[in-house]
Amino acid sequence: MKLRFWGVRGSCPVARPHVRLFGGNTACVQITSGGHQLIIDAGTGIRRLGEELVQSANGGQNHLSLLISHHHWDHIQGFPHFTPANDERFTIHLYSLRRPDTGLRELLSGQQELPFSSIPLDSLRSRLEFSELEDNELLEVGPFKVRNYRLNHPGITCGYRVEADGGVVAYICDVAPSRDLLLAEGLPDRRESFWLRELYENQLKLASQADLVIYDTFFTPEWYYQRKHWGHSTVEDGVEVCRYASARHLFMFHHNPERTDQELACLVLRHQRELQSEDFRLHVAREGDVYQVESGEVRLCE
Amino acid sequence: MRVTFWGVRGSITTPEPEYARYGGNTPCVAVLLADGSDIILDAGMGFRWMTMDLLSQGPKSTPVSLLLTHCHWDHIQGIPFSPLMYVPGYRVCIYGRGSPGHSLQENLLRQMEPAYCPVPNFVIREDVGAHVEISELGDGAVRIGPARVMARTLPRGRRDQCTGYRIEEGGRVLAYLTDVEYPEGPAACPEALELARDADLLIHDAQYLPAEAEARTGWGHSSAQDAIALAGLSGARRVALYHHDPARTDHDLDVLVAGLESAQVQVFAAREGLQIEL
Ligand SMILES: [Zn+2]
Ligand SMILES: [Zn+2]
Ligand SMILES: [Zn+2]
Repeated sequence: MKLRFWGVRGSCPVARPHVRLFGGNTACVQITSGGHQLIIDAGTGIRRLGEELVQSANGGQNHLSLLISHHHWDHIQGFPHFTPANDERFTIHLYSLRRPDTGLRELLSGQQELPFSSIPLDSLRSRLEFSELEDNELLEVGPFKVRNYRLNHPGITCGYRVEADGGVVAYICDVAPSRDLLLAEGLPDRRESFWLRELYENQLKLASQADLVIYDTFFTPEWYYQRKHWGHSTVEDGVEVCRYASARHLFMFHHNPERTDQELACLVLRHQRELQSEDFRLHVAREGDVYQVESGEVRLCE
Repeated sequence: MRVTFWGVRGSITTPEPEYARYGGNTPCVAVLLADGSDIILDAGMGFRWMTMDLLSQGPKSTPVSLLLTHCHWDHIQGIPFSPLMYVPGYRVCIYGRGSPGHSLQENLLRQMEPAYCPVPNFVIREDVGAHVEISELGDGAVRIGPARVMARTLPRGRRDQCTGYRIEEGGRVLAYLTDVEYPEGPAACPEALELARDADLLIHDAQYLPAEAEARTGWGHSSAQDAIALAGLSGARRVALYHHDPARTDHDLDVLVAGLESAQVQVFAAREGLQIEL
């Protein structure tokens, strides 16, 4: 399968010179295999992806699957600007983890209601098929086998493990480490320490033997200690998970809006040096980069 | 007064390189008054960077006044991501309008519902961040420091509305009209004419090219031709084309402006970072 980063920034899109190299669009990742399209998250990066999909659409019905990790703005704000959604040639299958209070359709529809937008979700010309996922549900879409696991992040968030063509991609974002605070909401009543352990296990299940792990590295350790309740992790946290899960390539993702290109480049270099003796490699997710993912091999396409 | 453009893009932030020169942040214009007071027009993503710059200059004794034209995302999405809102000691006065059935405060709170937004709700919680006051201005006027600010309801096509502003200080006039669509042309809109009358600078929505405007009737935007026509009718001296379509690259904007050289007023495309002393 092929994987392309369309948006790698966290919290809010950044259109400023300090991020021009790694990119300023919020979260969006496209995975393709044998003509099938799987998209994870609908941050602002999905706008450009949509233009490309419309251009390459064929005459019949074009099917897309869109997995949403959670409903924070930076993961859904691109959807009103995703042109396939307003094109009758497309059917879009949308998924996110079931919430007790409201559904994915209501949340996306709320984003496009007055007075926030003049284009209601119901007026869009594509076919939108919504599904609420159960915890750990196995989903099969074309060649993709997708499993979701709940993560420790404010609200209701899941990560995705995508298997196809013998390769495995894990999307672990947004996520907080399990060492301090339980941030995930609506969990059955048990001790906090129980759930922190469970949610950490979930990270390991997502990343287990994965070829490519996309990980929320929003924080530096100093930032983390000031803002634990925001629900994000550091490179160190991602490294630990990949080590225990025997994953092969770790991608820093959901970059802090203030993190400059230079800081990011220095940060990855420093960590890469420290990790030389490890069995996995560290990379920075960069907008526009495409990777070929096969079992045991991840290759940057030129 | 000194006018600074912090966000000039309409609809959605466009961080890609082909927008680097004019800028990809959603709407935000800052106006610095003679006494050091700040008026900020709209709170798109430019608001985040504007207020970070403001905080870097140290404490302020004057309040920060934010004038909102309407509550479409591209005009309020910078608020939860502005560090100004989290710093105690600042006073932020927000002016604007509610929508049928909802007050302005309710709409701003809806943006910060926990399902969508991970940050704490400073608008109602006094213990979190700045002191925030929210006022519905309607078609009124208000004095902010040495300036007089006038608000008028403008049409966004036949069904929707937004607010336009006129800021007068020391004999200088700035008019700010964005996300506006005149169903009968600007000549038939007395509110727009009143706001723009003899303005030194008219900042005006120019999202569409004339060829696009036809197909997008009712979407709530104008073209450069509408902006220039309003300037001609109202005696405004200079026009800043604003709220550029996300499809409009730097090159497209250069071409657009070059094609307007024969206009009767001075016209330019608003660019992020541009500062104008009136
Ligand atoms: Zn996020
Ligand atoms: Zn989040
Ligand atoms: Zn707008």
